[in-house]
Amino acid sequence: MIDKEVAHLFDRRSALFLTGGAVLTSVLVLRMLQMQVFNYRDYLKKSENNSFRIQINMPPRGKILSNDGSAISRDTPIYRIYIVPEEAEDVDALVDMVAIELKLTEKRIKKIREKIAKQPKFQPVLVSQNTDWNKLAKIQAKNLPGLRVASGYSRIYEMGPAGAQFFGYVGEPAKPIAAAPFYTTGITGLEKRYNNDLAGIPGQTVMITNAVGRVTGEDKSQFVDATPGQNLQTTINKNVQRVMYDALTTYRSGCGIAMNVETGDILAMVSTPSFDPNMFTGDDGEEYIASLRSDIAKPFMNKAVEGLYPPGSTFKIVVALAALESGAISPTQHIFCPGHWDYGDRRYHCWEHKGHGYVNMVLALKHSCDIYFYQLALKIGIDAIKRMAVKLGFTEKYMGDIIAREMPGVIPDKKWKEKNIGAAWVNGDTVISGIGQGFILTNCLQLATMLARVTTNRVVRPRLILSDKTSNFPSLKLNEQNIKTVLTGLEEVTKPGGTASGSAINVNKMHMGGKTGTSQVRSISKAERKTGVLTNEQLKWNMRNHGLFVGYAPTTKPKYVVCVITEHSGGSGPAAKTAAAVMRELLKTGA
Amino acid sequence: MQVQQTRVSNANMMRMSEKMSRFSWALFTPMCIVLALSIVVLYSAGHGSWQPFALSQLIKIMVGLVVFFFAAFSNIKTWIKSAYAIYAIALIMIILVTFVGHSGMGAQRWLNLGFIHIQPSEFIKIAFVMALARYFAWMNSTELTQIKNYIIPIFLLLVPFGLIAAQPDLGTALSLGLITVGMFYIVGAPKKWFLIAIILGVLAAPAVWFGGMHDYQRNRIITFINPDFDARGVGYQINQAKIAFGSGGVLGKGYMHGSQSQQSFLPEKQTDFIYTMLGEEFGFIGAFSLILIYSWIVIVLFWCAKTCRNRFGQLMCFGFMLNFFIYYFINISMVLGLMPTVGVPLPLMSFGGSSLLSIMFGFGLAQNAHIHKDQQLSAKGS
Repeated sequence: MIDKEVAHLFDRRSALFLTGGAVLTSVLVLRMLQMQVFNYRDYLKKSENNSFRIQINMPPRGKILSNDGSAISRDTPIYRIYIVPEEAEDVDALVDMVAIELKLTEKRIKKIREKIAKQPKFQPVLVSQNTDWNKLAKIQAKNLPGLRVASGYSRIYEMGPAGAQFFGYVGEPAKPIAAAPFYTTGITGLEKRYNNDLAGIPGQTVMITNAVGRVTGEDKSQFVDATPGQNLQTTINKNVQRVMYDALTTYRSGCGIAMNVETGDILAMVSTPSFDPNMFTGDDGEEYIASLRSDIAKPFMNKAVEGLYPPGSTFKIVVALAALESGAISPTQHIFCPGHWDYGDRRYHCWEHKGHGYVNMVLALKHSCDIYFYQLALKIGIDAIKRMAVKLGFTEKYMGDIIAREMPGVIPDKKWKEKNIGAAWVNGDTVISGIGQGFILTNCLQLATMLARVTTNRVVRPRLILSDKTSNFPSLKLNEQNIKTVLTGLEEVTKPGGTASGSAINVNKMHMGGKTGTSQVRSISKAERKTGVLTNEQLKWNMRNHGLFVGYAPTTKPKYVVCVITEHSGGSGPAAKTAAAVMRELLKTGA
Repeated sequence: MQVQQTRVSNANMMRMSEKMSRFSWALFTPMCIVLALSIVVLYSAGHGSWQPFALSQLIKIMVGLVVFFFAAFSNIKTWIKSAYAIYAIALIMIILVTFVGHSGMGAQRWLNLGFIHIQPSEFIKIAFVMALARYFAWMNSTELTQIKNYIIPIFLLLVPFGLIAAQPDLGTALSLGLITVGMFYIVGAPKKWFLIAIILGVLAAPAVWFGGMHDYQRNRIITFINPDFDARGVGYQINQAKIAFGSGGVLGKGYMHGSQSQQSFLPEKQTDFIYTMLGEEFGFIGAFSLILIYSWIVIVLFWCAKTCRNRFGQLMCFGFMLNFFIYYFINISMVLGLMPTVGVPLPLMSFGGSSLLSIMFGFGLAQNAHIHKDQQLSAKGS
């Protein structure tokens, strides 16, 4: 069977394995004896002391900063008081006592009692989440069993509702962490987008507990300090942001952008109505949130980038430049406006029914003559208009990385209409595109960017976060003379006789130029009329035109653009007035 | 001798009753004792509950027993014929796990089959032993000293060794290496080769340290040399394990009363550190008893190898003995702080199916070899 020599070899060599196995096993046994018999007491002592309770130390969250480095959203230390029902001698009495000391509302007390009845007895019930040091000291002095205090941070939103949609707010995570009751995470806006940077890294304190779980000391060797979160520097200027918000709240609903044309820095971005995240954690937080949710003016929507509007007459800037660049018209060439224009089988009206008479490019912009731009649009065609619009930044997303729901809008052409509407492009479509109506949809940020590009002749890209690289924007390569012609027209707009003459400003002889616009959200009001959900009053408001204004200043050397949209404000007056107020602040303080 | 040969002249003819009478209770009994003990300890690891470990493990043991009996009572020739195929399948699984495997603790070890996660590196050890036994079984003493006859086995080692070390699963790679050394030695490779290998190994160590190791592996070794180096991170686990084990004393803290294990300060108590839990709750008596039972199994396997009258069965039994001993020796040394933590489960005790099934399959084959120990076998498996 087995080769004899091989069999011998097996016997000889296996001896080594048996010896080796025996030695190694002895090593294990000796080690066990050493640990469990000779050093048993040392290990037992360690074991008795060596039960841990790990306490998570939350770091302060990074601040969201304005462009001058002051805080927009910041953390402040607070204390939370909990009742642990099973540790209390008399839970009801304890709740009464705490309610008096902390001056809790009836509603709050009721909620606490409900929770105590519902939850398992070992689970802490939150009594007060915003307790300051003085109140805490008073309660702690009584040394009552059943009370547990946790310290942490609470978020303060300095800007309140001004920009709350994109600054965002923090809240408890979807799955709360028991060991870290103060753990918060960004729920919306920048707080959510930059949560990883802002949140910091929690530390730990390891408490040594004995067999029954009583804390007997701290294991200092395992202490890890929390790493505070990093600050996030934005381009927002607090003053300008406030002025814009205050001016816009005069109206039911709207949005606005203020931008530095040299850097693309967004100095203000406002959407109204808004909400104040400071009120979410208050006693009436839930009711407050519910009322916000039912508001048809959509307070949670950042209309400045998420809202799409037909640009109306503000789009004439694009058509004018497209026409001048194509050479289809010279600045001095006049077109006669009798108040209407018959083309095809339709009559197109000017907003001024009396007509503007003979108008050239500058006058057509000053008076926002529709007839002039109908004809201009038809002359150069939709493709030339689209090319210029795209060049000036329409259909582009600028905040895509930061604001998820940014809407790119629509600049239509033949292909687009065939694909999306299922009908062939007709010349009438081109005609009404000339005054920014029809299928064109843009957002407030795009309109501001458009004017920033026109005033600088550079490919300006807006930014909201200061750490983002600012590059020297490349040239737009438009004819400087053409830009000058258009800007002359825009300067006239705020002069006597212009469509925004009521919003002229003069800050140290610095003036604002710009363009008004009105547009109607026809499709929405039609749909809403059909469903009949809205009351008559709301329907009326909803059917009114949006007002738009996009302006720049100073006219001598443009530094800022402001775009304001007031929803359903009827005309463009409110938008122009708001923009003027913001521009005045910008020129005064030089943000 | 003549009598026995006539009695079992042909394996195909061997009747079930005859197989039953040759069944080694000496091997089967200690295995069952350890398995029962594993359920007892896992029940405690679940804080006195069948969930989440004990019941699940019991089901795996049932499957393992089916595998064991199948391997034990099948025809030994089947295994000679299929040894290389089994090795190839295990190797393919290793390759698969490298590309589509699941990661855990920085290592890619698991293959997800939808209903079950398997760790092919466990199976390769058994398959590797089978392939080596098949390869060397029909060599005479002269052939066994020729270096060309070791080229193929070294390839059989290096392919899975490289893949497993890259996962990285140092414990299994180390086991494979040690099994190879042991097998080469027992089959009769010249002694001077081992001397050369040791010298080369010492020379290569710095290259492995700086070139081929993950940071966490390096940390484990540093921590092993100096446990205070990183008490919070890597050292925490081993410190807690030592405290738990040492505080068990002679008699233990009592079943389900291991304060360290029960209060969840012992990480991985149901898998790699289950021996610590046994030591804490049952003390030296419990821990030492397990060593005794393990030694019993090792001695029985050795006896199976020694008395086996065909070389294939002998080498297989010896290989499984080596595998089993290396397995528990690494694990126990690790949890007792005698070795860096390398992530090797305790055979037949730790929670998990792959290690259990592969060990029980190996024991089934050893049982098979014992049953067929008087069989004459040819290389063709006929």
